[in-house]
Amino acid sequence: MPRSDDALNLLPGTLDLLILRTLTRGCMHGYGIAEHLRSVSENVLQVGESSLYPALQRLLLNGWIKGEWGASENNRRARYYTLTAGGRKRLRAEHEEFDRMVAAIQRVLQTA
Amino acid sequence: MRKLLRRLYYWIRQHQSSQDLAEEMEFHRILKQRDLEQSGLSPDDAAFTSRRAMGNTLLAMENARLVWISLWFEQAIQDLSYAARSLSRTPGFALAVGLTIALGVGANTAVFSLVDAVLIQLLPVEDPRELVFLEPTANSGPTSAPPYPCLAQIPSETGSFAGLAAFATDELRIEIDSKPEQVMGQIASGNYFELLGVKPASGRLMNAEDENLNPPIAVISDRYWQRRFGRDPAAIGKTISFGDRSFAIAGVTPPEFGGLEPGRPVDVTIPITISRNQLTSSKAWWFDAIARLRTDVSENQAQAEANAVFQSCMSGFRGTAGPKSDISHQLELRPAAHGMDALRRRFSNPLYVLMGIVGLVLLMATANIANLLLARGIARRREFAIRMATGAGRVRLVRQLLTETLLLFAFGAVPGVLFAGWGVGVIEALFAQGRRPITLDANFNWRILAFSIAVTLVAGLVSGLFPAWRAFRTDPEQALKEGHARTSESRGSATLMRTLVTFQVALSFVLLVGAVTFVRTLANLYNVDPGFQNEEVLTMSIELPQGYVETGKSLESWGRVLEAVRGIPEVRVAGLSTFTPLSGRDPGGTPVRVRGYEPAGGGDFSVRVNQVSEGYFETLGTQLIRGRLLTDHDSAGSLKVALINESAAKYFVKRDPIGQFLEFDKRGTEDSVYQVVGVVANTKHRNLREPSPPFVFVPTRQPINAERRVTLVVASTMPKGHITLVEPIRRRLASADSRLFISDVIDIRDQLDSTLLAERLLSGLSSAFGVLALFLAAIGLYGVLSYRIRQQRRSIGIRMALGASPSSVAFSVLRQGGSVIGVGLLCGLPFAFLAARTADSMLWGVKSNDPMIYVLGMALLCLIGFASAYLQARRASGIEPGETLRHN
Repeated sequence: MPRSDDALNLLPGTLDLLILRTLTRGCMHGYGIAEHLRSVSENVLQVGESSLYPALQRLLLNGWIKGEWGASENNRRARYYTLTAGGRKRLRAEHEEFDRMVAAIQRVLQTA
Repeated sequence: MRKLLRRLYYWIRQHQSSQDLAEEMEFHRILKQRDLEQSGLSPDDAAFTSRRAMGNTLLAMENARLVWISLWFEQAIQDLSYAARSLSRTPGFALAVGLTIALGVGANTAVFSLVDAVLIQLLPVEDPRELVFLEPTANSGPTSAPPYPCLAQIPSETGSFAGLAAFATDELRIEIDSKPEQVMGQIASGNYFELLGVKPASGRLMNAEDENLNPPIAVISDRYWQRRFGRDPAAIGKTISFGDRSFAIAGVTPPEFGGLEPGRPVDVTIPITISRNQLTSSKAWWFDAIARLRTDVSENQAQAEANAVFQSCMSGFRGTAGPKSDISHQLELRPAAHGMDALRRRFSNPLYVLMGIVGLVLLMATANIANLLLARGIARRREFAIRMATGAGRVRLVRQLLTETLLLFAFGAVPGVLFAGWGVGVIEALFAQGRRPITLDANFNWRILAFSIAVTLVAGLVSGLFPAWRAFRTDPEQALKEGHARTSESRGSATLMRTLVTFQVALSFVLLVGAVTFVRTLANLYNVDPGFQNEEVLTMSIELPQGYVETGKSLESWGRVLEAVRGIPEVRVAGLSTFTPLSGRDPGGTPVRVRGYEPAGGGDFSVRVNQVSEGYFETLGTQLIRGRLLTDHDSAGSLKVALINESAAKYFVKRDPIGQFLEFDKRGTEDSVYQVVGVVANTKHRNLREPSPPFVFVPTRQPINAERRVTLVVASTMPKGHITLVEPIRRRLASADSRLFISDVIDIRDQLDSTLLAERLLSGLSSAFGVLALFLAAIGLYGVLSYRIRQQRRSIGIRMALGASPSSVAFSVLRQGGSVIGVGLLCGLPFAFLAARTADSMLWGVKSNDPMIYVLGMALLCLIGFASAYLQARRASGIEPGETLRHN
């Protein structure tokens, strides 16, 4: 299985969640997703390609996102990803799970 | 599921997919490079930095790929294609192994199909496990169900039964469109189909209200619909005539349903009310009863309740009932999930034995293949060593080998299962022979498929295990250093191979002993005197048209039939009888009294009555022991006479039976008193093993009951001429009375053969498999010796150079072969004895403790075994010492 980046290996599946969330903005290619994550997180989340592309493949396999080839801004062929209905459902579920997890960790950190 | 389809789609276009990914990642890099350039880096630096930032793209791509295709799957595909390539390089080996597997798997699948059809299949009805048969059990064993009035009380007076139906099957002569034909008929109570939960395939089935319908309806089976009407929907509504009644066909039962007696599918079902008078009679014991238990009731409780009703109503009947009520004691429930058990009773033991035999054959085949694979593994040691040296893991290597074995097995199993289908067809045809053909429903189903897959997998894994284990222990360095198989490892393999061959010898010995006992059993049974010397007798059933018996025309008709047949020049002698020896028909016992003699124990003198004409015994060649045979003077007007067989003569102990009077209990009239005029030899009745029961023969012209249907027996003047008599007889009878119905034309020899079906099956299959096993063992021995000689070539050469004679070399090879055979025989002996012991009840004229069968088995094995060792010994003695020492 692919290895997660150091920044993201704290909670497994977090990268999937972030990609799904990013795609709610509309269709994007891989580089766009990486750039978006980097800029929104103010350079904290530097997603390497070696984990981004396996993650995208995993999401494709599960049918949560859909990839379509199209022309890019510099006239090269690029694969644009969009969220599917299943992906939206998955995002909601994962988001809730993540919140629950973070809240739990917070509680542990504050009480211990 | 959709995920699997996506995986599959990816896998099919995986080349395209990885190109897409590469392009996508390159695009990513270009964008990064552009951004870097915009932030002020020189183009070269930007390209370099972007490449560095991308990291190991190859690994990323591989990881992305592995999301789709698991490593396990990929390696399995690799193993398979490698296995296919390596097998196609040695087609002879693949073919030999494939054939062996085809045989082992095929034989097992075929026999299992029979076991499934006869022993496993449940009745194709609703919840068959809730069904029970109601059987009164008398001293003499189970009889039919109790009379209907008694039966009818059981469901209403107990709380255990959800319903109860009565039925009886028999061959019926019916007419459709005025054309007579014979069908397997069933008379059933109106609720029969509802009780079983059988739904119509077409039209409707009868229900309880239909019992009183006029005209009544009939239900036909799917098989009969196909056979008689070619599935024509217009068949529904057609009229079937039976006796003086007509029935309108109302519907068709589903294809899988053929009544309650496996092997004897019913064609036509008509309501039981056609003989309403029988239903109200307390003497009618001729039908069977089936009931459905309530789900919350235990079988014991239901039996106790039903038996209580039975006892009270039978005591009410006692005054009027026939003698059977005196000998019946208990009403018992028997599970009906599998249907009536005649077929199972007859064939369960032979089938278990066959299953054992084919199981041994499979073991044998597995050992043989393990040996071949071992030899192949030795030859491929260098290949394994190289693969290991270049980094293949041991586990991976073993997996590769097991994949190869399983592929081989799959390759052999498919033709094996096809071969099984053919074999089952042959056996089905064998069952369908004779006067009472058995229709097996041995269709391929999921149980059989699961069985053959399981057999293939287990045998494949077992035989693949030995060579895989050897490969696991391959030491690459050693294997590469040693050019030829001469290491301790190959010696280990050689020991394993020898052990396997010894095992094969033991197995084939067991199979041979089995074959010898069954072949001898069959031969002994064929030597049993059936009581008739003439085996060239043609028999056929002749039935009078409706009304002849009722109007008293039957005697005259039978006379005309005999006259017509005897008028044919080629006919030497002919006679009539109710039934013939070994016909499978049994009239059951009839009570008879000897005038002036009170039996001491009060026991019944129960005899079987056969009404025969003059010429019957002469045709069959049954010997007259005392007195005289029947003549045409024994006719309606003269003194009533009877013949008895030797079993019946024993009843008279010291008195001379000739001249005694026999009284048949027929309402006490003088009408049924017969004087014994002769004693004839016993003829076998049910089968060749059982002694003949007591018989009384009365003349067809002086019948106790007028015959509507008789069996004609004819012998020809020419040797083997009886077969050619069929057409002349048909023509003569048609001109004598065109309304006579002829059926069941059969050679009496075939009739005898069909009673030996199980024995013929066992002896044929066991000897075929025994011979096969013998040859497999011989081939195994040949292979092992050949391998040993190759190994010892050098030492043999040295010995010969030092003066050993070729014959002493040959002798040492023979000794090696002999030790394998000897140890194998010793190991096999106790198992052979055990196997023969368990089959003892099926044997005839030969016992498991008969040393001859073992001696014969040993002799056969030694003969073939030493023949194969001799071939190798000759090869060894021909070794040129000089040559072996020069070459190495």
